Amino acid sequence: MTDSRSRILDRIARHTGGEYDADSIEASFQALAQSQTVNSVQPEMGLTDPIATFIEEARRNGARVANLKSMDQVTQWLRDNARHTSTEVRFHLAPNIIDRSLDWSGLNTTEQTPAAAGSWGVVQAHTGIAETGTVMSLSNECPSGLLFLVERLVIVIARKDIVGYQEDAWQRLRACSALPRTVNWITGPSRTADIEQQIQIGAHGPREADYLIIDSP
Amino acid sequence: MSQVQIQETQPDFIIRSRAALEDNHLQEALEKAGSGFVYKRQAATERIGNFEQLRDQARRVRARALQHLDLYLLHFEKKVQQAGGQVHWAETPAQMRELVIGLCQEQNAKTATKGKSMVGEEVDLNEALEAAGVEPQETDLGEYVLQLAHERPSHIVAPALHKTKAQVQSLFRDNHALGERALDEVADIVNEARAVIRDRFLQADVGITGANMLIAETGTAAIVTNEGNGDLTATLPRTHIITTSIDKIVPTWEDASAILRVLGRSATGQDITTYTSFFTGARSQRDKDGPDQFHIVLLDNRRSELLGSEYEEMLHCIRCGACMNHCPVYQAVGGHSYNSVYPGPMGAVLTPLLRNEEQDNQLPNASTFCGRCESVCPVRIPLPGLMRKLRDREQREAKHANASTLAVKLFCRLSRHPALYRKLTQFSLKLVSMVRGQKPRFKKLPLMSDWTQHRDFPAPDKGSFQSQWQQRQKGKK
Amino acid sequence: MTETPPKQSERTLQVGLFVTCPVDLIRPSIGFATASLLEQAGCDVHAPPQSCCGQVAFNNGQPEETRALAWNIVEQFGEYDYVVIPSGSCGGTIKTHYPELFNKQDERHRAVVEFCEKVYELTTFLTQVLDYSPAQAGVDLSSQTVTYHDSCAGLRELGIKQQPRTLLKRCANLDVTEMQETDVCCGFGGTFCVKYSDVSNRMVGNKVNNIRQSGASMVLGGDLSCLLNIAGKLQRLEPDNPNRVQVRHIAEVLAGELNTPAIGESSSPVEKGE
Repeated sequence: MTDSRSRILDRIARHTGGEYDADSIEASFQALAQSQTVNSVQPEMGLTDPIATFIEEARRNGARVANLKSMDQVTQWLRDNARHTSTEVRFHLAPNIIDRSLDWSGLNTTEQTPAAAGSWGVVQAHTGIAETGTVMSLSNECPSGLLFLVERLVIVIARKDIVGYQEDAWQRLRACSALPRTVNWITGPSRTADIEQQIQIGAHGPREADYLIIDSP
Repeated sequence: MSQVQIQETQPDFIIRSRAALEDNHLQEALEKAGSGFVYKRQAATERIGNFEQLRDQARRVRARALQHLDLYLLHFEKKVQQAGGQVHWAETPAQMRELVIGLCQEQNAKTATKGKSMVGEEVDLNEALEAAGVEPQETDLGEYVLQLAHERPSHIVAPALHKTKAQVQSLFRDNHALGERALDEVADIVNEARAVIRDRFLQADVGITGANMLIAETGTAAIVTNEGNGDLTATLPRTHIITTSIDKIVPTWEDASAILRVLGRSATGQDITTYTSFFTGARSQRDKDGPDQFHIVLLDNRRSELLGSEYEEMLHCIRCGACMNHCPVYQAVGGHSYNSVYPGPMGAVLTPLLRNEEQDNQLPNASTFCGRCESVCPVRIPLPGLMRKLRDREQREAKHANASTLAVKLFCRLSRHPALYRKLTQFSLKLVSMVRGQKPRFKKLPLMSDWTQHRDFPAPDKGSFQSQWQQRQKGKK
Repeated sequence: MTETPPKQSERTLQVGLFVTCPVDLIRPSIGFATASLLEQAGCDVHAPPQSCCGQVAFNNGQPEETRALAWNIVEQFGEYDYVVIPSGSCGGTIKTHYPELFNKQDERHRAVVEFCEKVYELTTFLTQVLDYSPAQAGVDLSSQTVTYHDSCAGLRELGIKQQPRTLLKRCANLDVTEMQETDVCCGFGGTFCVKYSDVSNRMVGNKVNNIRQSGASMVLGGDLSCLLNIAGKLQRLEPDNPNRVQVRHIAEVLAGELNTPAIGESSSPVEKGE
């Protein structure tokens, strides 16, 4: 379909006046980016304390938020919360959680594909964004599918990883060695309003979302 | 079983809208959706202090993206390739269908899960996949309902807006082996769909989604969803195909933010949707999951011809649906009356430009120019202005003038001569006044039956303002 | 006005009154009320020969016809200090759209732009140019429940929202009782209401429901076209109800001229139309 490609690009170039060969694309793009540095316009929302705003926005978007002193307390929090459920909970751990060698005694962890009731995912977010109470997960740290297949998603996030605005998250992303295949932003539990515009929590993804903010990771 | 039947539709908006006004299910559904979107958007925009500035910024980003669209597309393509993906270019819907089917067949795919893609709808992808032996499985709840009902979306954000809960329950009863499972509450319906579709995610050979944005900087496709179906479609199968169009480009990630900040707020009144996902190429060795094959199919379908034209601003559209949520015509007759993938004000402009069939000329005329769409458009597209230009185009290209055009022309010619106009209108008013007697209003009027069919018309005064004013001025002297 | 005009501050403002075709042909009382208001506010009012502002042509794919009519108006009204229009719709056509009809290459462009700067919709002129506030209200409607329909072009092209409410308070001691969705179109839309009469009927039906639910005995507006639509629907729905909602143009209330029966009504309330 190279013909379609060149015909489409020709039609566009008629109006943009652009002329690029394969070798000049990168340089032209960079030059344009340099010449068009744009100041971002961020929402005015009285954001002075990113942690406080992060918690407020996350809750407004349906996430539960808890504050823990250290990573060690995560498994105890899971034990306490799993106790209240009627079905037995199986924990699906992201690699970046497994690496933390926490005390999983008494907790049923598994590497199987999450299914049906009782599947909880435990993952660590790369960044939290206060602006919307959003957490960012990268597929080189955590399998993207895990974020969606479990019934309840527990996202651990270090206090130091919470930033104010989206632009701050992009800067952290650019600092990574390479962009992962998938960057996921998650804000609360999955939802749908496709039946008579009634908001129903728990569509195809998790029905519940917990954020655990860790003071000193 | 055929998944989608093309329904026989009347080639005339007036006939379709009349039927829509008499469709009780549709009217019930429209009433339930009602002004919910309007209030939610308003609350979301008022929660922050500078939404108008965010709109300006989003508009600037869209304009800048189009200004160098070719460079951004080329850079995007290069980056996708570097990340192990491929970009394919389709000039027409037929080419896009052919490309997608080819990609599915390369993988010997039997099933394809699908996330919501308006471009996919634009090219009638489902019928083509079926005909080629690939079973399309819609996974967005609204799209799934419509697949069961063999219907098209009636709204670009809430595809099944025209369906009542009772209609969905009935569809599920007919199509699912329900057994003991309940279906009374919305939660039950959602759970039922979740259970049925979950296995499909895990077993599909190919996942096909749309894209809300293409970020040129890194060759990244962004999708914005609430249900999570888009991600399961994009992530679990071996192959991920994106069907989208060339106008979705934004230059950088910061530019993507400018769009995201107005998209959710305008569409559903959310400051951000539950999921915003960014896909760059295929799974690499460092990634914990993701598809091995990643393809982006870019549709043109006349969009490149709009660049530099008087309709270019239509390419700014970010498909939020705010225009239709605020359109009193759409709210009265629903999306199917437009007989297009793109209904409401944005569809009334886009459909005649992309499809350009004779019947599409009706769409830009079916507006009161109330301007509510433009007042909420997150990228400030002058939708009534563009509809007016399309009305001009229709008249320019018309082979023969119809009666109403001639009437307007005649009225204008007369209006060019105010003195003559005054005499003629005064004479007519005298006639009317003789006929009307003492009646304060008419229930029937010749030549105005379209008005008097539904409303009374007040009897005019005995003389025009101008003639009475002239009398008054003479009296003063 | 051939002699050298004195400085603006020293002399009476000369105002050209463009009444619009519906007012001219169907309800002249609005034109007279407007003139009377402007005179009360200290202006000299002139109504030169006039016809259509061109909106009908403009919205129906006839830009050439529109340009011809627009230039007519510019020439006919060019001599006055201000041009005032009791309509946001025709006012919007002139003020917002005339300049875009004459592109910058057109030698008339500058004249058109300058002309449009002195064109005002009535309530905006009274509040923003004259800051009109009568010593005492001409009528007192404080005991009545009155609602207001914000016509689309006035609201969205000219930003008319507060102006009528401010004037109603000053001139009629009235606080407007707001209806639901006051800013949603009534379904008139020029030729729309006859080309798409069923859709239009639904829209005016919704509007009339909102008006009735507000509990108002009177609905006011700034555009006769919308008011004809609304009054016609109210009367069709309740032909025999002598207490049905009355429909008037705001100029009539502001001028205190309520002797003319409300739109489509007769002086004796139960008289039926045909």
